[in-house]
Amino acid sequence: MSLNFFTLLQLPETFVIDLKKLDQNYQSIQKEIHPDRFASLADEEKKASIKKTAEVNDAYQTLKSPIRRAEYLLHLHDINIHDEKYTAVPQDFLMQQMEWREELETHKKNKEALEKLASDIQKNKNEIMSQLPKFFENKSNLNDAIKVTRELNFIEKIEQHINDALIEII
Amino acid sequence: MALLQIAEPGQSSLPHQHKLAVGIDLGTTNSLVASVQSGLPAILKDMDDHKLIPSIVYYGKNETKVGQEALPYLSTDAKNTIVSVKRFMGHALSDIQYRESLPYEFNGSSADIQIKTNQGYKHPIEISSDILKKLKDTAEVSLCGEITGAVITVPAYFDDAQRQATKDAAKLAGLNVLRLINEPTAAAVAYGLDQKKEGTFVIYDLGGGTFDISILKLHKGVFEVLATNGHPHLGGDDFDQAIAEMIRQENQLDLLSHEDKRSLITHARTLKEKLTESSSAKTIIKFSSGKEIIFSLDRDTFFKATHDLAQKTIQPIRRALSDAKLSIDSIDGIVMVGGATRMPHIQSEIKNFFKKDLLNDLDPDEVVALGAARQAHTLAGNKSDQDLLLLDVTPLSLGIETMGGLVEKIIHRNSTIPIAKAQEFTTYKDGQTAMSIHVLQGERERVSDCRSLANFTLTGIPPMVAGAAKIRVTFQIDADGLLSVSASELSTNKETTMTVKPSYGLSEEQITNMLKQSFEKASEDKEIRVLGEAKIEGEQIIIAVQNALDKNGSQLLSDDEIKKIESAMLLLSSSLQLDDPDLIISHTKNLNTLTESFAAMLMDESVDKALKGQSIDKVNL
Repeated sequence: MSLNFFTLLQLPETFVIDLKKLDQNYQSIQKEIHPDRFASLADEEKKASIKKTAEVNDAYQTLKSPIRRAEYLLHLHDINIHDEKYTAVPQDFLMQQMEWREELETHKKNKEALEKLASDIQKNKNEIMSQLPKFFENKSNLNDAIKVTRELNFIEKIEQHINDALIEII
Repeated sequence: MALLQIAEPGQSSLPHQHKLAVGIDLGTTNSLVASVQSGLPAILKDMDDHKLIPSIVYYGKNETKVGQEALPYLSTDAKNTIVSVKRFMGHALSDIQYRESLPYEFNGSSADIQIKTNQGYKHPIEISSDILKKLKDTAEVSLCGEITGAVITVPAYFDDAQRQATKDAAKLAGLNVLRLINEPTAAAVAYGLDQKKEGTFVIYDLGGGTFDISILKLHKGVFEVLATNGHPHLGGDDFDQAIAEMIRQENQLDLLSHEDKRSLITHARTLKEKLTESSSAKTIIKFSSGKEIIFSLDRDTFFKATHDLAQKTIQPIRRALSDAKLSIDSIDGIVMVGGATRMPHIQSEIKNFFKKDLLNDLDPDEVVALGAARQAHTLAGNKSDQDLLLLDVTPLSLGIETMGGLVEKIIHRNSTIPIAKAQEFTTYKDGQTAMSIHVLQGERERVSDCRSLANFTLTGIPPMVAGAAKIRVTFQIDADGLLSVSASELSTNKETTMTVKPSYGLSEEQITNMLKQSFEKASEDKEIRVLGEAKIEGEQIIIAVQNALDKNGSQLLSDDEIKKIESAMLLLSSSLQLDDPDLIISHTKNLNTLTESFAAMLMDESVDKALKGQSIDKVNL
């Protein structure tokens, strides 16, 4: 059975984590179990090493990103934010989303406008993100955590689309 | 801890103290082999003192010539002289563009690429394996010993099919592949270790036929790839083609024989190389008809004509930066790799883009092989003064086909490997016992825009009502960047494992047959070697298991389990007295299987050990 990602990387199961510690623990483990340590050894050890390293990599990537970490914490509470029952999004956020999307469509070839949009969204994201820690402190606030994590998911997607558009402009 | 690593240095009586391992840069136009000697990596030269071995194979009626020796046949027998075979690796015949302009005769009735030669049809994997054999021989002559393992480099942007093809070629050449590593990562290792660089680096690798860009963080012997991108068919070859095209147009050379076309390209390449040093260059080309032309080219004209090619490398750089979430300012240095980066306009283009000077301390042709040699040395189990850890990524997203011809991504590009992701599926019909899964690689949303890796059917699902079965499919990418898929039905715990074999590679059977053929040619030496290797491996595993048992056996295993392992050890050690390699191998395998779960437990122990002493952070509690 796979371990809880926090337990695996020996971090407290909280939203706010010490990222430096995360990096340190991750690298210490990798130095011991990475398949490169077993390249000249028996097949069973290679297999065991790949399996464990894959698990540790997954844990690390998940905890490193605040959004993935939030999703994972909710998952530990048996909540899948992509589940149908959480699809409702507040009206104002929906409007905001549509505005951003429209702006992206209109300025698809305009570098300055896109960069401005990206920085606006970034500000908005930081604001939303700053609320997350307190929602995870108390179990009774989990509904807010779900709402905010879902919003961040939307924001992440539109950020990706803006980035893609920016790359296309030479 | 690893079973073998538990053995203290003094305890084991391993026969070979220093294992000969090589790093191989299997390039589109040139290949190199390197090895670590007295602590430093060096390129191994062939008997004529060449470091670069042209990746060219000539198939004569009774002889095969590789490298320098194959060169003369380019202009006399182009049809049987294969160049740039790397461009064909892992591809189907239908993938090859401009087939008509190539001198080769392909087997049109095969989906695979098969080139007709004096020695019959040759698959790109066989042709590559002939190049690898030449490199292996070169190394064995130079090092006066047998190679125990090799690290082979591949473009970071190679997909699963191309990686698998490379590994198959190595197997066919009789090489023990310790690891496939990405070319830019190998270059970073050479820079990081030999030049003691630390920070965030961009590796710009423009080879003969491929372009890679990787962004790495180098810190205390850890090489972490943050993002990689590239272009699968862009390299120095394309610049040669552009010059050849200019010569053709200017001289209205329409109908050329394949040999003349080759010689045109050779002249184009010479011109390109001359323009690196001087502002203009001239060449005289003699055609088979006796016609002679003089062509001169100046830098400006060349740069203008190939500006688009240089520009093509910018987009992948932007993508990699965006994926790594980095701006240009956060880059500490740009390392130039690959012979094509010698072109002055490439240098100035990249310098302008990053607004920084470029790192050219190491020879751009050699740096990949040198880094690979470092890694090979460590992977072979030789003691190394530096604690080297490479954390590489998968270049392309991996997904499966869903409704409406769309791709659902399961593993995203730039995920650190090894990585495994599981996905659960269910049946949509009552009593459904089979299900087909289409695995794809690529970034686009439609199936038709991605690379199809495998199409397989899961069978043996117990009949249930629709939606009741729970099938968990696990996609795993290993440290070589190769995919394997396993599936299990959760209610019955039935497990099937399949290694994804791209539909146009060689089948396991084909490889076995080819290997058999080459074994038949081999002498008795080979059998003696097989026996010797089997004995060494058997002895090693006995020592390792005994040590592991002494240390952790009673804590982790039941008496019954220990007894089983001990009797398997006894069987193996008595078989070591007999000269039967098959028997030894089968007993070794048996002991390996028995200790599988023990190995997994020890892996967990290592994780604990790695973090021991680092109590849970006080600051966060």
